Amino acid sequence: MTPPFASITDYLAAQGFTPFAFQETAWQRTEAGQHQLIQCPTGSGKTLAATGATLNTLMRRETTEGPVLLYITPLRAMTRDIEMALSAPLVDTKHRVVARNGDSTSAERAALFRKPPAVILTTPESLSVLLASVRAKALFAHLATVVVDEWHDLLRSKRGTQTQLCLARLRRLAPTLTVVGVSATLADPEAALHALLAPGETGHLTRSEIARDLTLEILESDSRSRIPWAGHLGLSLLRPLATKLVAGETTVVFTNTRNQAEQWFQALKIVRSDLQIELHHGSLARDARTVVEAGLKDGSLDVVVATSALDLGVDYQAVEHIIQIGSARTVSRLVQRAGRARHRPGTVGHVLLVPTNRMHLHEYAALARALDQEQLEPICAPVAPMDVLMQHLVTLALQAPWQADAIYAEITATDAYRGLDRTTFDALLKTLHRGSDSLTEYPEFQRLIQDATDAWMVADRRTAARHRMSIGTIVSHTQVRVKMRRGAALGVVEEQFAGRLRPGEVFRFAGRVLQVLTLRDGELLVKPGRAVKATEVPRWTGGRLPLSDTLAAAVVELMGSGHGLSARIKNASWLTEALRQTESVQQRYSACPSPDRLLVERYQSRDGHHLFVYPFAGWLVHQTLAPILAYRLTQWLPTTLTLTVNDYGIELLADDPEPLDVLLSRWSEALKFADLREDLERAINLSELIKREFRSTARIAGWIFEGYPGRQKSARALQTSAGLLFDVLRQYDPDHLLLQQAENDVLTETCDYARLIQTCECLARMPTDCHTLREPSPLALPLLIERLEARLSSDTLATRLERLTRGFDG
Amino acid sequence: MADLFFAEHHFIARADRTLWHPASGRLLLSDLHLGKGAIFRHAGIPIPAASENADLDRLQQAVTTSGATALWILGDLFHAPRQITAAQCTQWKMRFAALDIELWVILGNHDRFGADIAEALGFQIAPEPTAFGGCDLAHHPDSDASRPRIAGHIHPQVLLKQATDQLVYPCFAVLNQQTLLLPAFTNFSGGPRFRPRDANCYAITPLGVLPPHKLAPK
Repeated sequence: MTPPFASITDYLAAQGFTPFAFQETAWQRTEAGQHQLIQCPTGSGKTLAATGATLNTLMRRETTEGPVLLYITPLRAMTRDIEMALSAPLVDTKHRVVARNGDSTSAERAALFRKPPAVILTTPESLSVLLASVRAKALFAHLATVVVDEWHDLLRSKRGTQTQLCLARLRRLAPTLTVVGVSATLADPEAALHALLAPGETGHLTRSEIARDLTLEILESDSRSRIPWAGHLGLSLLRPLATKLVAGETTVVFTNTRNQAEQWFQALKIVRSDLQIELHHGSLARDARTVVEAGLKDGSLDVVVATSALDLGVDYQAVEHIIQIGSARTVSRLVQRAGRARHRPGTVGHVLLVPTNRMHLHEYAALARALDQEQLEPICAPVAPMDVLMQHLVTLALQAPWQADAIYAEITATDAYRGLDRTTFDALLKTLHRGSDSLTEYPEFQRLIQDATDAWMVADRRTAARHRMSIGTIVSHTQVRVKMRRGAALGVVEEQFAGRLRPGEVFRFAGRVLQVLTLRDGELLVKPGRAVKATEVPRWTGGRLPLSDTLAAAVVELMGSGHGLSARIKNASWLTEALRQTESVQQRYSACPSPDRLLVERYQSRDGHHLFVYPFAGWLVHQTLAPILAYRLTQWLPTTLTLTVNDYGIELLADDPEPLDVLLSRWSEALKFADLREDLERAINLSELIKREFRSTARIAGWIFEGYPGRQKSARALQTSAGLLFDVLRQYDPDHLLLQQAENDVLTETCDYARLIQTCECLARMPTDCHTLREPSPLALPLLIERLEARLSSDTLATRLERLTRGFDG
Repeated sequence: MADLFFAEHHFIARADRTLWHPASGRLLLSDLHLGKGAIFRHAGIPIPAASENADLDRLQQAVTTSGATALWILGDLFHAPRQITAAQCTQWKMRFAALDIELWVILGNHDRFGADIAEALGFQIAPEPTAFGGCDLAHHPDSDASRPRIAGHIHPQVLLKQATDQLVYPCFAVLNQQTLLLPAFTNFSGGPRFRPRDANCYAITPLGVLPPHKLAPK
């Protein structure tokens, strides 16, 4: 008798590789039809662990009756690498591995059904498109295993919700399906596993035993450079960093925003013109990214300046060093980024951290401590989003007409929708049938209709065609292609940014200086511009990630309690001294924050009277907390306040001290839970935020028909903007289901309402410790400097209109 | 409401998105796009029917309060004439008959194949352009035209913006003293955004019509 998994083991032996124990465990579980979540750092053989059992079977079998393995990954770019990895062992067999994603041609799409391969690689959106076919039933009938890669990343977004819904359907098409999730290290792996399974199903957690320990080093300032007290771009350590780069040793420099990536790229190219330096971020054209990714694999590049677009995915074997500019914002992200470097079993991961301001030093120390205690951030998956379900119900109706009872059972068998009550489901169904579940009239509306057996089906062929084209649009921001006049595509920028540019304006993008010609048909036409004039750097809304709870808490704890620095920090003595310096300055000017009392600082400048409060709750919470405080204060005392926030605290600026006195004297009242939601609505421009969010909601629900390039003309009669839909609905059907969904999304994602409530409760209980500053303290300075970046409007329409037109009265 | 002088005519830019010409008794508007919501509904995009009814109510109000004797629609009376149903026709006919004034339309690009329906609703069809005092009435603006022109088609909006805040409203826009663009009459329309420095905009805000000198420096 041959030993189990002989074929794949022999194949690997021929490559000089012995499987790890966790990989064999994973194979055995898959072979036995047991569900599992494989948890291991990227680069330690997760793909092989997830697919080895299937590959082994395929190597020993002549033919299959259809696809036996479906591999879902979040990133299109990853499918190519996985395709190669899975094809290699099957090269001597007749089995094929086929990628089906947004890049597939229509011929490839058709061939997939006509001549099904043994293995299909796809993204959640493309899987949805496959499921929208009447032939999906036959295609997936013999599916044995489905692999969901990067589950930790998918799970937190609506694409994860879509994946759960697709899995529920696959389970019906192939009842003996085995689910294999793959994820990086997670705070709550049980919950992540559970989200992949049907109710009542159980599974295993398969962990790699490869302990990839992580060491950190902080870039030290030298005699010619110092770390500034405030700021995010942080080019001040450019020279010390430049000396760390070595020709022939591939280094990835991670930045937090594309803006920062573009700037560092430009700067490094100037000071290290001897090196091969490239830029990689999600907005660049695919071709440009592919070239860079290839360079990372074969080691032909010295330095790549990158954003989170490189966080995920396959490993770059040639990468020797990882550098992080600024704060990593979350522990999980640093771990993920550290995992991008070359891995050899037993070796240690190492990251060089480059502070862009002094507070980052405390964040780094906190990061190391959180790593020691294995405190990763929990993942919050979306709960029962209506827009995704709306899209999915139409998708399923395209596959086959469905009965409401059966589909309700199928939907509520997912983790995301298990709490969905029948009333809400029926309201959603009514919305798909009649336009809304309210009393508002929508004559001639049609999307889903009922046939003679009461089964729900798509109203007509045009609705069907439009739906197929609009699946796969769960993307947060509309992108505009940037194209050279002579035709080369450079990448994409967010519509909001493109819309601000006027013809003739010059901006930096993709490492070049470009001049705007026109914005037309979803494309921004540009030509090379002259460097001296470039003032604008694209700013992307997605770039700002708040400091996580975990890290923020660790920073406060660290500041209050002296430093037992983690052993994983290599230059701990330098850092200890640097932290002590920051703290002694902070202590001299006011006091260091601590977990059990709230630090408040007051300061008078030429601008007016400042009040600084440091809740350390992350800017997302601060940017809603600040207006609430301001709004409640204005209820007690008419006044005008300017608000500024960052990850650590809030600044309120007033013309005279009285309002600030009042606020402090009624502090706990200003934080009370009663009417919080209503006051939030009045305090921030909530409806503007919801309007912006509605754009993605409407797109997912299939209300914004964008068509394809070149086909836009044919849909002209249906052209509209999400803003317009929002205005019309808001005015004539304010209770519409999708408006509520957009509002929920804003409250959970944009405002982090749950964390806001927690913060308010916590702050109200804490004693305050108020200090008057003669000069701004290290904590106050960043808020003073950032003021203009983050002014918040808490005014009524009349005041805003008045202000926007003020001074111009003729 | 705000006074608007164009091509030696005195007009009143009204907050109901119409342009009132007291001297001739004409009420001008453009881009009504009747049937637009229904086309969206048919495609599975829920636009409440109340949106179009509100447009027609506002039209009735405008005619009543101005005391106009003739209504001139400068194009895009309909959104897509070939998809108009008999029921819609009947309903619109009643609404226009109730206005009880002379009805004129200059056909716009959206009105292709819509001439018969316009006539059935009681409209007389005027050529593009139609002379009106020293200027022309048309659907399409034409920067090369020899005479000043009042036109629709563009759906102009005005963008009031400073570093940290912005508001957008439909507007009347006068370009180079030569072209007066009317706002789209229908609520359910967007359009290009003019900055007050690019055109003389009469912004239609919830606080009334704000003339150019209230929006931008001279």
